[in-house]
Amino acid sequence: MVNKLYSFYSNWIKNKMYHKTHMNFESFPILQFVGQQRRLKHYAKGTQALHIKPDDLMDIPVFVALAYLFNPYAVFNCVGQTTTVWSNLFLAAFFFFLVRKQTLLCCLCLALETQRNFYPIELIIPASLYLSLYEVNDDDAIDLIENTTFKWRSVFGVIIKFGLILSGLHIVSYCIVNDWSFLDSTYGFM
Amino acid sequence: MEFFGLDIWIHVMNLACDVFFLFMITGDDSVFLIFLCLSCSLNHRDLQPNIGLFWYFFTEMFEHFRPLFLFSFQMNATVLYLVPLTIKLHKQPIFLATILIALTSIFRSYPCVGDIAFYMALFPLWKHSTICKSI
Repeated sequence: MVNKLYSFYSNWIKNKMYHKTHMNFESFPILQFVGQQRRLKHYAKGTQALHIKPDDLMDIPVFVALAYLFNPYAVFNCVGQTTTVWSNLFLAAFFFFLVRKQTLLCCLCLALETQRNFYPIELIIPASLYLSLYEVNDDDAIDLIENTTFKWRSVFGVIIKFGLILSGLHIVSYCIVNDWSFLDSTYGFM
Repeated sequence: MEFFGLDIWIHVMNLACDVFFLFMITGDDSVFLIFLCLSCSLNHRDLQPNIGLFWYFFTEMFEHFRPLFLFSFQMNATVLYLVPLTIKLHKQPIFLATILIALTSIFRSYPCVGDIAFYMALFPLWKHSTICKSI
């Protein structure tokens, strides 16, 4: 069954990649691979084993799905009927929108997750960095591996957007409950 | 820092500190105070055994050390690894996010196996960074 699933997904991704002349940067491994190919001449010799291979582009999404769905911990989670499945859903949606650079949806997912559990609030730092990274010319690149940089202005912009969405969600929760006691029940009790 | 100029930020922080200390001194139990003390109020109240690191430590220690260890444990779960890892990995934010999810799901006060399942599912994204020999 696993083999069947694997072949189905790999064929699907292969077809998708084959028919698209302009790759739409749909998954994170493709993005990484394209970045690697562009800077390949700067990589050290003898590191071929550590490069991303074209096969990985089909393997990695399937491996990620299998690693989650067939993980005994995830199965225990379903048996115990915890609310962590919502947490995982929000985090997965956060990564999904982050890789596609959808700032508002990404911030919304992280804000919903932060309302449930305080600790993932620190993920706004990598998110804001990722959303504000942009490429520079090869000549302006500081290090050889990557020619990207970011602006402080857009980093703070993303953090402010996130703060606005989070406080908006708190106000909505207040309107529903008519009491601030939910703050102590979620953040106070951790 | 080119965001609105640095001096405005200093004014805003000064104002926030003033408001904070004003409310602390007057002891007015308002909503505003709850928001400002949010970071201080991450109490660890339920000491029942779980798979986390907190409960055993908090049952064993003397009660008057509780605020100190509360702060150090909560800092360990949030900002302690955030700053050095962000300085080092600011050009690979997704890798940074993967590491931070793993660290917080281990060091949080009430962990759950589902969190561990989630960060373990992100490991195959970095398959190329290890040399795997097929058996």
